Amino acid sequence: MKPTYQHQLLTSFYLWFDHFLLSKAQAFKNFETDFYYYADERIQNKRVFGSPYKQWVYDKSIANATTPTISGGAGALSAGISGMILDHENGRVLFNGDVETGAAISGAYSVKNFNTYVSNQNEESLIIEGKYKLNARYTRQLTNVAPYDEVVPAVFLSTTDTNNQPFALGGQDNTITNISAVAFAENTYQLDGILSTFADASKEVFYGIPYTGSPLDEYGAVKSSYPDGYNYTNVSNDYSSNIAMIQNTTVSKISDRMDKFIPIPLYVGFIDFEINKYRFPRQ
Amino acid sequence: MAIRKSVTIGTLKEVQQAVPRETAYIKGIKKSIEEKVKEAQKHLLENFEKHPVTIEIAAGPQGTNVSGTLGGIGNLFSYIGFSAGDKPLGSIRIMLKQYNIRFHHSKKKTTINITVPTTTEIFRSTPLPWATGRSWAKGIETGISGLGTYLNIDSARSRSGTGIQTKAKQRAGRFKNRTYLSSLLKNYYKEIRKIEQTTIS
Repeated sequence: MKPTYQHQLLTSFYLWFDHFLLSKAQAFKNFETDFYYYADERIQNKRVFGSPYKQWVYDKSIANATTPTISGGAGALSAGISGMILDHENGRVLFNGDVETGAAISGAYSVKNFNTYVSNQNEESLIIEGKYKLNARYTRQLTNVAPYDEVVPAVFLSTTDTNNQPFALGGQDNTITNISAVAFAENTYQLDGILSTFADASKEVFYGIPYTGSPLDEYGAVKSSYPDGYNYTNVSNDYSSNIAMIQNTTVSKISDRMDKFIPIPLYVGFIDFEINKYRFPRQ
Repeated sequence: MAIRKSVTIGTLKEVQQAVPRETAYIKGIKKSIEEKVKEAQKHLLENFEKHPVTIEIAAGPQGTNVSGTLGGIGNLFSYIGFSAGDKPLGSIRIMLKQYNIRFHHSKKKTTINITVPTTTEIFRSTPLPWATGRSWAKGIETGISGLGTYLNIDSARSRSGTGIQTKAKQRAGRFKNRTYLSSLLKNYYKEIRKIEQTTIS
C-alpha cells in the first residue's frame, strides 16, 4: 500500500510535536555518560553499547541541544568508524564486531524530557495496563536502558477520528482529524509544562512532510538522505506549501481519583488536537 | 364614501422611517421573534430529550445501552464514570434554554441579533468526571476511552454502583462514536439564522 494522507499527517504531526516541545519548552537535558556493552539478539554481528537514556535529540534546529558525540579510548569517534551507528531511538551506539566488548565508550548527548511514541493503543490500555520503565533523570544506578521498551516520561500520540467536510466548490474538503496525546510525567512541574506548552499551540501550522521524510532509519540513525543531519526547520520549510493547521487544542489533567489505577507513580494528562487540512480527497 | 388621497413617494418614506420608532411595532416584532425562537428551542429540546444518548444517560447507572455506543454492554452513565446521583444532563438543558435577542432599529429597517450558546460553550459545560478539561458530550461524537469504567468498580467506594472490578481488560471492542449535540445544534443554528433574516409583515 502506498502512503496515504493519514500516514503523511501522522508523520508530519509527530515531527512537529517533537520539535515544538523541544524548541518552545526546551524539554531536553544534556548528559555526558559512559556507555555499557550488552548483547541484543535482534542485532547480529554488531557490538551494542547503550547509554542510560533513550530518545536522544537528533533535530539540529534545537538551540543548545548537544549533537551526540561518542568517545572511545583514543578520543571522539566519527560516524562510520568501526561501523559506528548512532541509534537515537534506543539511546545507544552500534559498532562492527571487531570492537572489544570491554571498550571504554562514553558520549555526550541530549535526551528528550518526554519520549514521543505513536501508538494505536486506547487510553485505558496505555494508562491501566502500561508497564513502563522510567527514563529517570535522578537517583538511579547508571546502566544501559533496555532497548525497544517504551519508557516514561513519555507522550503517546494517536489519531482518534477523521472526517471530510465540504469546504469549497470544485471538491475541496476540510479534512478534520482529531489527534490525542496522552502524557505521562514524573512530577506535576513536568506535566504542567507540557500541558501549558501545547495549550498555546492552538492555531499553529505545520507542514506536510512526506512519509519518506521520516528522519530515522531502521537502526534509529539519521537517514543518509540527510547528509548534514536532520534539521526540522529546514526540512519542513521545503514543504511549506502543504499546510495543516491546529484549529484547536484542549488540555486536561487526569483526576486524582484515577491515581489508584495507575501502576507506577506517574502524573497523566491529555492533549487533544483538532487538525484542519484543506484538500481534494477525491482527486 | 371613501376618500381617495394620492400618496407621494416622500410620504411613503416618512411613514417607513416612522414605523421602527412606533411602540406598537417594537412590541409586535419582539413578540413575534420571541415566539419563533421559542418554537425553534422547543424543537431542539424535543430532539435532545428523545435522542438515545440522552435517554441512556438520563436512565442513570441502571440504564441499558440503547445508544449502541458500547455494543450493548453496560451503559454510558457508568462507562463515562458518573457517580450515582449525578445529573450530567442538567447543565446542557440549562444552556439549551438560554437565548438573548437584540433589536437594532435604524431608519429603514430593524436588525435582529439572536445569541444562543455555541457548541463549544455547551461542550465546556459537560466535563468528564476523570478529566475535567475534556467534554463527555463531545466524546460521544469523537470517542471516549473506557477509563471512566474503572472509577465505577463495584465496591464500597463505588461511584455509580454498577461497575465490575476486574484486573483483566473489560471490553474487547472500542467505543462506537455517534452524532449527538453537534448535529442537533447545527439544525438549531440554521433555524435561528432563518429567524434573524426573517421579514416582518
